[in-house]
Parts: sequence; structure tokens; C-alpha cells
Amino acid sequence: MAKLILNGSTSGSITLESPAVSGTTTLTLPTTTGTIALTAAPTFTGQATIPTINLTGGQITFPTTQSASSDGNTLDDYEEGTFTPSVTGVTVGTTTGIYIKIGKLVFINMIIPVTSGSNNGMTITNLPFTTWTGNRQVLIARENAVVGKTGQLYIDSNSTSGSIQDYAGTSGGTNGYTWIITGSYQSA
Amino acid sequence: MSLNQQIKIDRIEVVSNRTIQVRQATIITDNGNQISRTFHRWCIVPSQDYSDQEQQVQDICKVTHTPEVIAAYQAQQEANKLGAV
Repeated sequence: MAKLILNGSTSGSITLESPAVSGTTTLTLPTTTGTIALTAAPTFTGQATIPTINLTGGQITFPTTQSASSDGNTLDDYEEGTFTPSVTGVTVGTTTGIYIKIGKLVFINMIIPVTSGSNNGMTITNLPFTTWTGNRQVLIARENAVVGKTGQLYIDSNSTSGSIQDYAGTSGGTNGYTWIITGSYQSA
Repeated sequence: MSLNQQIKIDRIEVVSNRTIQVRQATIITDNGNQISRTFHRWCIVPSQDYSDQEQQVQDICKVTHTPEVIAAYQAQQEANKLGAV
């Protein structure tokens, strides 16, 4: 067995210098079996081209601050958390919401209990992300406490709010109703 | 074991229509090592009252939500209103 060991007192390094005239610089690693042992949390710089990634650890961590990409083939964000939907037009109890954002796709789930109101215009505000500037979007809803009606949350473009209606297009702001709203929309 | 919880606003984003998206992080550490980070989000649209926000958010709202921006946002929302089915 042959070994090349760099055993510096503080650190060691291998530098493959760029060819002066032509050609490429190559460091050949095991092609069948073998292990490349790295320090606990090494940092790589630059962009790597890798045909397949096998995540034996099972996790991908995106930076806390999104590095937005305009490339249509690049996944540049993942985030999950909570938000508190606000409602205008009627009085509601405690509202809850969760979100998962994958790239520009935002999945949300909300519970909206109406405690006072009678089919006044009911608008949900404070969605976690602003919608895109294209088409309006629709999420599915169900009234789950009184009548079991289906409904929809109709979200404007370039907005953080939408109106909730039952299947017939009537505002869903009826006292006692509890709306479950689930679906995905495209963020800005 | 020394658990510590820190709650802080870690992201303030201004999108194209000048809506301000705020993210609050709750970070739990054990002896300085992070063991949990969860997020809570909310938005502040132009014309919305921001007086109950943290000062750093208020500062951004103050310079971002100008009368011109508020008027443009309200006009956009009016144009967006749901039409007759």
C-alpha cells in the first residue's frame, strides 16, 4: 500500500496548479470502492458538477437567507414555519396557520373559526408570502363545524390576502363556521 | 446541559409591491449548539399600521411605505378585486 501523508504541525494542503499552456488538472479518486475522509464540516467553494448525489445523511440544508436563482432548473429555497392569518369583515377566534415553502411554491394550511358575522365580506390577510404577479390563484376550503360546505380561498395576484367563499360564491363569514383551508400558491 | 431560547427577527424582505415580509426565528441552543430553529412569518402591506412592530421593522416600513407607494398599492388592490362570477 502506498501512502502520501501531509503531516504539518498546523495544517497541510495539496494544490493542483492550472496547466501553463493547455489541458486540465485532475485529481483522480477511487473509482470502485474507497472513502474520502473529510473533516467534520468542511467548506467547499465554487460550483461542483456531480452526476448523482447519494445523501446517506438524508438532509439538505439551505442557507438561512435565500440565494435566489432566476434559473428555471435551480431549487433555491426551503423553509417551514407558522403564521397567524388575520381576518377582516367578521370576528374570528384564534386562527392558526402553517407553511412550507419549496422554491417559489408555498403550501399553506389554515384554521379560521368565525365567532361573529353573517355573510359579510370575509377576507383573509397576512398570508406568509406575497403571491406572484401573474394569474389569481385558488385554494380549496371546507367549512368543518356547521354545514360541511366546500369553498375556496380566492387570492389576488401580487397580494398577501384573499377572499373566502363557499361553493356558490357566497362569502363564508357566517357565525359558527370553522374553515379549513389547504393548498399551494406561487409566491413572488 | 444549558438550554437557551432566543427569539429574534432574522429576515425582513421587501417585495416588488413594497409588502414587507417579516420572519421571526426561535432558536434553541444547548451549550451553544443549535438544536432547534423554527420560524413564524407575517406581512405588512402598504397602508397597514406598523406601530406595534419592532423598531427595526418600523424603520423599514417608514422609509418604504411612502404615500406614493400606499396609493399605488391601494390602486393595485382595487384593480385586483374579485369580479362578478
